[in-house]
Amino acid sequence: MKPNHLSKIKFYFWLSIKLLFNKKTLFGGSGPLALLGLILGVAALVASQSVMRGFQNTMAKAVIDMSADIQVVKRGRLIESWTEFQKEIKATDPSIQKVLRYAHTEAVVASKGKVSGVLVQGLDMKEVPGVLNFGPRFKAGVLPLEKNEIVIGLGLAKKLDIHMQDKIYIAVPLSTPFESNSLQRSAEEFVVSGILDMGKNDWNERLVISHLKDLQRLTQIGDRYNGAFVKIADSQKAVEVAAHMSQTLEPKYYVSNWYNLNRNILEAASLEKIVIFFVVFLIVIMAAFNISSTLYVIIRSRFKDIAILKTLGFKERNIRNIFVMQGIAVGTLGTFGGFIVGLFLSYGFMWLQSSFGVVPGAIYKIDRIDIQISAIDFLFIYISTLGACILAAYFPAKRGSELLIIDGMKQD
Amino acid sequence: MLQIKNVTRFFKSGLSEVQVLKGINLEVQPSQAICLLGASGSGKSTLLQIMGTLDRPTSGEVNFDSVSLLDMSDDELSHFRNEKMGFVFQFHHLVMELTALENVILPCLVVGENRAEAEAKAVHWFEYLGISDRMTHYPNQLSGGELQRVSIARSLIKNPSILFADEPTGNLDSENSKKVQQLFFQLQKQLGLTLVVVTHDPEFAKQFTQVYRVQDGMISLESPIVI
Repeated sequence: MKPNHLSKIKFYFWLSIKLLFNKKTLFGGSGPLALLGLILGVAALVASQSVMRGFQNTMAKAVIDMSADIQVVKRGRLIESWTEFQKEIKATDPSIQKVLRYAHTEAVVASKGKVSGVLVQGLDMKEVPGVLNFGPRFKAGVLPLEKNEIVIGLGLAKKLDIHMQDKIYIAVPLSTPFESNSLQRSAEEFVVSGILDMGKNDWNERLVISHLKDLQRLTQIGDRYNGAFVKIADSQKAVEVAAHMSQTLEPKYYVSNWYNLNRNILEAASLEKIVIFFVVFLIVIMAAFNISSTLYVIIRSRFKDIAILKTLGFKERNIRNIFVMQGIAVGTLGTFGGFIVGLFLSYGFMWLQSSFGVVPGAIYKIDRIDIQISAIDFLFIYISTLGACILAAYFPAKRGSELLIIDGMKQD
Repeated sequence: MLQIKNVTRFFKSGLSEVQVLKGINLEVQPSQAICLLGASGSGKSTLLQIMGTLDRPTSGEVNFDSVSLLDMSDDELSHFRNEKMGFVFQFHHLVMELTALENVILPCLVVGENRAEAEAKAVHWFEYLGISDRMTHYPNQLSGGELQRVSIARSLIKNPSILFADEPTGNLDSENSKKVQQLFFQLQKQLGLTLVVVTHDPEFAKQFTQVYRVQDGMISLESPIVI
């Protein structure tokens, strides 16, 4: 950019700010109300987008924390050799960092006279760190688990009134090899040594974590297991890596990923986020109309100044640029003001959900959303708001710039 | 040389049209000082506005050094005004939100001149006009005479060839009026400025060697002036 152009832009900005920020214009008449409308519109955008992005991320984080990036199971059968299977998986893609084997079974938990159906997941405790991320989710207790120790979800603890160090019974139905219509029962007593917030409502009420050896003994499957959790370098690439693994591994293996596990709800949330943006953006557009009418009034009151500036050699586009720059200044002020108010609204929402539980877990699968203010969302909101404000300013600015000098001079 | 030929100007007044200028011919030579004298509504200000490219005639020609100003685009005309013309009006017409110094440097800044250089030029004019202690004052902090001097400084900062003044003393008390009148002649002599002044004040007009009386849209040379 030539120094002359830079000087001109600096000049436009300086003069537009001088003419805008005073009692006669932005801080007088309908100016404050127009600005307030914009701030509220942007605040609603910031709050809605941060809640929606928070919902997506809370959901994604819960899934990745609890079931890693990629899951591999053998269709209809148990896996025998861990060394060979692990080798096969790691050979499929260089981004694979670590693999954790697991076994699971449907079971019934009994405690204090109450029973509940659960899914018990047995994990190889040595391999858990680096694949699953239970650490920050523990409300009580820590890993690793010793023999006959168990970790349950918050929902199950509440439902069955279970506390740390309580003893609970887990019963697993086993089919008998010779009588197809009868079941055997395998049951053991476990000590609750951890309570987790697993992120998703159904997991909190149904998922129980045990040591792999305990589950293998309980389900009488020997050293065999159901599948493996796979950690890769970048969780956001799980869909591509899983697709690659699926093509490379034999067809007897089924590969899934964290996104596919909740595809419907994550896609619905993405769509809702876009729809909500456009619906709430209508408020910003309404505010932009207000700004436009305010600028019309401001520019009308400046007809004499515009005429004088033209006698000094200001061109039509100089005048237009000065008033469009005012639109940019109002848009920027409104966006940053709205961002601050939006932050308060978002934290207000956090307080509401922690105090009154405003997110019904049964419907949304999660009962708590960690709001997230994203730089990309903010940038998008800023650019959209600025675009609306520039358009809002352009037409009054054009009207002002086309003023004839002698008409402007007549204004009292 | 500024030359206008057969200039007419009609204004709409309701359904009818009023002819304010009726075929005016006038030439202003470089460094000449002329006065357009006339009663209120005689058309003298309209004539000055047309000569200063602030208004367009209904018909006729306006030429500067044989170049037609009426054929110029808005951009060219703005550039021409910025480079060649200065204006002083009855009311100071300063931007109230800017200091005196900021008002004066506006014509330089709009064409991308360096601010420090523009300020240095402005300081020279503030000193020349004897108001250097008023540079950082806002218009509402200045007296009538000071305001008019600031607007004169603004009109001179680009070293124009021709200065138009429309009733420059019309809003001043007699003491300040005399000072401003002296100032115009001082500027004309020292800088070789072409001066076109509109006034209805015969006392001011009689100081000019060339006075044109504007009456009923016609112009006639009236020199020396008869009061």
